[in-house]
Amino acid sequence: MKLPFISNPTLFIAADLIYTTAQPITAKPQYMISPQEFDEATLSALMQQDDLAFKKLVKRYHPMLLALANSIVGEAFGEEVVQDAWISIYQNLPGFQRKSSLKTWVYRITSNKAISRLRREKKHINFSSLQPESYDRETDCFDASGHWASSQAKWEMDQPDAQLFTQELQDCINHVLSQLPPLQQAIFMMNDVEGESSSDTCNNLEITASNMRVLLHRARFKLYSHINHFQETGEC
Amino acid sequence: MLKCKDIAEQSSEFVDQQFSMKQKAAYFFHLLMCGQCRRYIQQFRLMIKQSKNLQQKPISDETAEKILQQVKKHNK
Ligand SMILES: [Zn+2]
Repeated sequence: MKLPFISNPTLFIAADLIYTTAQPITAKPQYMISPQEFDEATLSALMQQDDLAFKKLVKRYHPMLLALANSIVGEAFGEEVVQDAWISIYQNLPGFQRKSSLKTWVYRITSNKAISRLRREKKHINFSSLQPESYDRETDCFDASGHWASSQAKWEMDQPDAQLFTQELQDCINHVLSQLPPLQQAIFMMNDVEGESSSDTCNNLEITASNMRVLLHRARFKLYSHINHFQETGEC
Repeated sequence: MLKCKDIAEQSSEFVDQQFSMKQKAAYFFHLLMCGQCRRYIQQFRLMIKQSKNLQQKPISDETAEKILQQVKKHNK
């Protein structure tokens, strides 16, 4: 096979790619630690079941807990499960051991509640609503020979490290996330947004690592397609 | 030879560094040849990196208050 001529700029780009992809992006850089994470004072107030601190906790984690519960028991029971989980969290806060992060502890309680509810309600849960949808959208991106069907839009960024998620795009992404199958949504939020480890994500959602990887990729690819669309048209 | 479709399908594994050396080599070879996929993988990677900054839709003060009241009612 005769290799096509590779121009030097291409090699540079490829070298840059090798360099940038050599660094794992799983670790959370310091500056990205979310301002909502709790300081020592809030943590001790929480352990004393302080009202204000508890509301702060609820505001911070309720959406994630709902996504987590919905992905396990479905939307019909999700709200109830989370309410039940908040009761448990409140009651157990004084004995919180700090063996894990508060976040992981809160997820674990909710996940346990959802799983036991699932066992009780098996007959009443509509499993079809929990199944991942088909791959159609993704196959549409490619022609019959496996090439991109249309060229990749170049995302407009002022600087390479500028914020991709403007408020408008963020609203769009939140909407897209809410339309994803619950399990994909929960996996993406837990793994990519909250930065939980893959093994914690699998444990919380009671899924295998390989299943998680497949669904995580589907969610990411769907979001990517929507960001692309947004970049091209300015619409969600 | 990998196709663009394979590049996209395997992109999470690539970005999350789940590849063997052999898989990596095949993947890089395609990237070297294909500008479309280079752009894709750079932007895909950027999206994942910045997803940590995504703010979830917040719940209202009233909802938080309601949850607190229900919790306290239960705790009496
Ligand atoms: Zn390609």
